Amino acid sequence: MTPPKILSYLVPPGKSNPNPEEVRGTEIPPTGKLATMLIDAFLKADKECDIPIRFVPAVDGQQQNEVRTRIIELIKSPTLQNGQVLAERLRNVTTGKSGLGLLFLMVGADGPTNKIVISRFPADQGILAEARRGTLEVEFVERIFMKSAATYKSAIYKGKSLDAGFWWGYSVDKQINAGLDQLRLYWIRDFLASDFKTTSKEGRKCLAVALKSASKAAPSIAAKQEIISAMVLTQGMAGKAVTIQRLMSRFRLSDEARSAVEGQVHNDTVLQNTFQLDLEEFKRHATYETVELDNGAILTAPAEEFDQTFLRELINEANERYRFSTTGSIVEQRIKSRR
Amino acid sequence: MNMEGLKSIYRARRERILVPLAKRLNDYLIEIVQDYPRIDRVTARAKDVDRFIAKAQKVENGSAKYSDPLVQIQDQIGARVVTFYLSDVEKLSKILEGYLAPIEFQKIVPDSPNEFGYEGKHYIMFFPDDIRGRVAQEDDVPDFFELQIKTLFQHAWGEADHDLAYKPQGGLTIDQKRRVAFTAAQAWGADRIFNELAQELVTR
Repeated sequence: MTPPKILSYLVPPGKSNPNPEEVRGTEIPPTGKLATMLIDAFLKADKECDIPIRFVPAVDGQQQNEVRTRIIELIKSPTLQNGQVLAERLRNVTTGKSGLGLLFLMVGADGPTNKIVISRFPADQGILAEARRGTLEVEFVERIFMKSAATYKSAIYKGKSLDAGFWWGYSVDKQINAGLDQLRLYWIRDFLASDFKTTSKEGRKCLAVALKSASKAAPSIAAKQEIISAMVLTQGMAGKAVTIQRLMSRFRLSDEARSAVEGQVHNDTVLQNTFQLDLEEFKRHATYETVELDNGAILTAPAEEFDQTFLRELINEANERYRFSTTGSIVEQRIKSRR
Repeated sequence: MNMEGLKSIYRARRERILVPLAKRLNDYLIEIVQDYPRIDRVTARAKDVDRFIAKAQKVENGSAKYSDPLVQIQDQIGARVVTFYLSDVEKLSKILEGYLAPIEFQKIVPDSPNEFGYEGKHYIMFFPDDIRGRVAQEDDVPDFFELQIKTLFQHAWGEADHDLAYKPQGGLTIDQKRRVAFTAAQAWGADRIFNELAQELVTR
């Protein structure tokens, strides 16, 4: 792989500002400590960026997206001028709250595969301390750009065909787990003119089906109970950007329960896809119905199968007494403490 | 690559990847729309080898339209949802757009108000990862498929028109074109009237 061409732009906030500050750019020489750090970020972007995103079509439905078009132009001709358009777009969606940022556009290739990494380092304040001639010099620095900052953002796009490819890629946005307000989505939606590759309904459906199927397929009652608990707890995550993988970690599923869930999805990508969770679709696919009787019995079955699983007979209408009956083979049985 | 080489590669891809993928897509679409009351049919098919090659050979402005047909042709799998009334098309579009992400959408109508012809709602959609299966990472798995949502009359007219348009060597005569346009006008009118009746008589 040849070293990527690296362009850098100082991007001030300019959203809703009719006279925004100018964006200034420069090309980073391919050698030196800065180039080494950036090339490392370029190479690691494949692993670091883990949120699948896709470009959205034009408002009139045409197969056209302005950011994709600019990215392809930049790959074909990685000049400061071509990168400037993207940097100015970032400025125009950046609010004062997001503040000043340093944008890096890194364009390279890995064999026949073209690759571009777009990263924004947020500005911060800091203190520079240097030991000189036996003394310590301490200095306040106003503009430090840090990759480790919580507001660091990046995106990667790869592809062989510039005509037909580059419709989707991956992003990282360290703020995204905290919620989905406009500030946190300005990188993906406003700047990249993109959205999560997995729609909210599709993600919820996959999650619900995986948990529900796993609750049936899990080899032990303990694992089944863990998964059913996870289904209940998931409902508290409404509105959050989630992945199945992260939910399993958050709910601390055991290896056995985790393996049961992983076995229910068709490929690993589904486990890693980020989507916004709301509950309508989840409940449609993953609801259990439970009936508790005054004699201490508790009957539980998937909601849509409950009436087929348990035959319900009205024994005494006046006292609302019912008889429930079901037939099946015992797969596991255990005694649980009342405490 | 010559057309024989392309044909051979596409045929292998079709059997190994596209046909099973179309089957999973078909099941997936049925699952999404199964609660909707007026679905006539849901189909998803891998493009025929001959039709793929015919499309790959298309010329535009004097040169080949597709420089890399295996990557650029986006309807290697085509799906169709056929419903009863025009108002159902819009409702089903909303349902399907909830699950599937498009890179293109268009409502196809004739160019001129004096013309009658092909109509329908078309999308180019990303394949959901859930149905890409264990081969999700392979280069041969297409990123997109075409989805059409049509009324029964749009579907019926489109199928017959497609069949007849491929028959004559020298194209249709003016009279034949007028008769085809007449059937399109009839289908358009029937869709309108049935939709009006549905608005009056159907509650859901």
